[in-house]
Amino acid sequence: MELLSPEGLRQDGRRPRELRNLQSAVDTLGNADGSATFELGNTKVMAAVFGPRAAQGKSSGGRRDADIRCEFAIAAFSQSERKQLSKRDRRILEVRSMLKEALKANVLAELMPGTTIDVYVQVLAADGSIGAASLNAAFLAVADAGIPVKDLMAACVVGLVQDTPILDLNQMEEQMSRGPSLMMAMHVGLKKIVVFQADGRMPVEGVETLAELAEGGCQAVGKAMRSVLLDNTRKLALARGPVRL
Amino acid sequence: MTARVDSAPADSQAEAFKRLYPDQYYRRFLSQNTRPDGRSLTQTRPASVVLGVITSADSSALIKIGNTTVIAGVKLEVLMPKDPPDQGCLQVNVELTTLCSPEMRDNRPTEVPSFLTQQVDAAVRGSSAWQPQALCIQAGRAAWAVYLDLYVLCADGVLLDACVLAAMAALNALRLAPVDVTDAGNVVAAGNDAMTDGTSHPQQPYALSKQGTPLTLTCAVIDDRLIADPSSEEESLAATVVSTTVDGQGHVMGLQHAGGGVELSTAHLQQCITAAQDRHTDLFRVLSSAQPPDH
Repeated sequence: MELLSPEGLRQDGRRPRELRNLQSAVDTLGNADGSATFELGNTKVMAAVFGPRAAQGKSSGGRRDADIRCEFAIAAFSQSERKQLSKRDRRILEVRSMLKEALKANVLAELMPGTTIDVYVQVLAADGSIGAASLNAAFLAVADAGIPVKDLMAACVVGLVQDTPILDLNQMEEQMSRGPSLMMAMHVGLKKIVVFQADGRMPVEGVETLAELAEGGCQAVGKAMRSVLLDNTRKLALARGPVRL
Repeated sequence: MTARVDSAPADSQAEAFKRLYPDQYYRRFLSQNTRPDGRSLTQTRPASVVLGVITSADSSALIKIGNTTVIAGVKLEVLMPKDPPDQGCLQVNVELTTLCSPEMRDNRPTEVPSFLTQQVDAAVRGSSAWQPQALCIQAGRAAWAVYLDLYVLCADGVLLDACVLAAMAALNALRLAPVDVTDAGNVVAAGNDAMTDGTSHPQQPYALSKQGTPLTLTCAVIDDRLIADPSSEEESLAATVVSTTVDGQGHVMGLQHAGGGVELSTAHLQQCITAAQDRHTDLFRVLSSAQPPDH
């Protein structure tokens, strides 16, 4: 099956450089210090942050920065076939370590010595780009918890299909595409790359093309996330009474 | 949680008192016949049901009781029925996600999910609506297998109530596609002219029976008084909790009292049942008014 029609449209009707419908919200769970949902088309991810709180666990005492811990899980009904993935599944561990490393680069952990920040991410529906969606949800939850960060971090996935770069791959495109793909997360204001995971063989010049498209994607996702965070901040500010400037 | 709007010193003193002496803090409210969140002792929290939130599931529901949040998803598969040959099967699984409470990662309770799984399973199978024969496509050859997965996303008390509500919401929203089995044993969409086995299947996607929907109310017992729909804080202070499942047709389907070093009087039990019947009316109304987005 061709992923791109002769007119250059994708199976779901999108143009190659088009994002799916993006929806996100913060403060979606009552128990957590910060929480968020992030939806990209049919992909839906929920994240919760607990902390910063006094160091938990054995090795975290006496640290000079905050210990960031991540957990990642995928619901059994999230994919087209029901599947229960164990906590030690390779795919789970891979995303978990990516989330942790990305947040380490993003959070100003040295401002919170001797604390633990727990970031939990649960995929509820998986239709491609789940790593990027999970990182976006995690970042929103971290921001919602009021944890200081370096910059707004946004992530997206791009790929090369029939020599055409495409943005925001869905499940089918991820599975059917034989071309290379790239998951990138960046600090959108600083324009610095935080995560760069490229898979598959591609010409050297292709890296630049994909990275450019990914940067555009991250900027677009970042813009949407910023407006959600701003709306929430406005709501909180007004809850304190009239704002005096 | 993120922004504390109140910062008056009186509040922080109350907060300190609450942390140091949670029992006394709570009992002061109790002596005034009220609770820290402003509810009366028998008042339940508002519940909400949203259907069709997960597009990858065959049916799904996101439910809330106060802060407690549970998501339920149903996946259908066609299996060869084994024993008995004319019945489909059901598999329930409840999981507590790490998101659901701050303590979940370091001391994850192992017995709570099993208890919830077993209770939800019993509630679904015990209801008069549950007819495994209705899941049969062709006796001995094909039947629906219903996988019901529940994830607790936020735990603030009454997990069983929330899980049962989510399970019933997802099962009520489930539509089975009309299918037939070909001679070669393949399952195809019904309405195919090649079908000659003469069985009459409904041609529209059909729902399972909704009679006698089981719903649960949990009550906590603190100082010999019943507290309806306790929060997680109240559950941790309670001597015991009693979960009553009723079907809205005058039957009690389950009554769990986990002991906890407290004996209950039969008057208490009667009170629990009456309260559960009232709660059933409430929850059933919420359940019936929930519409899937496409319908």
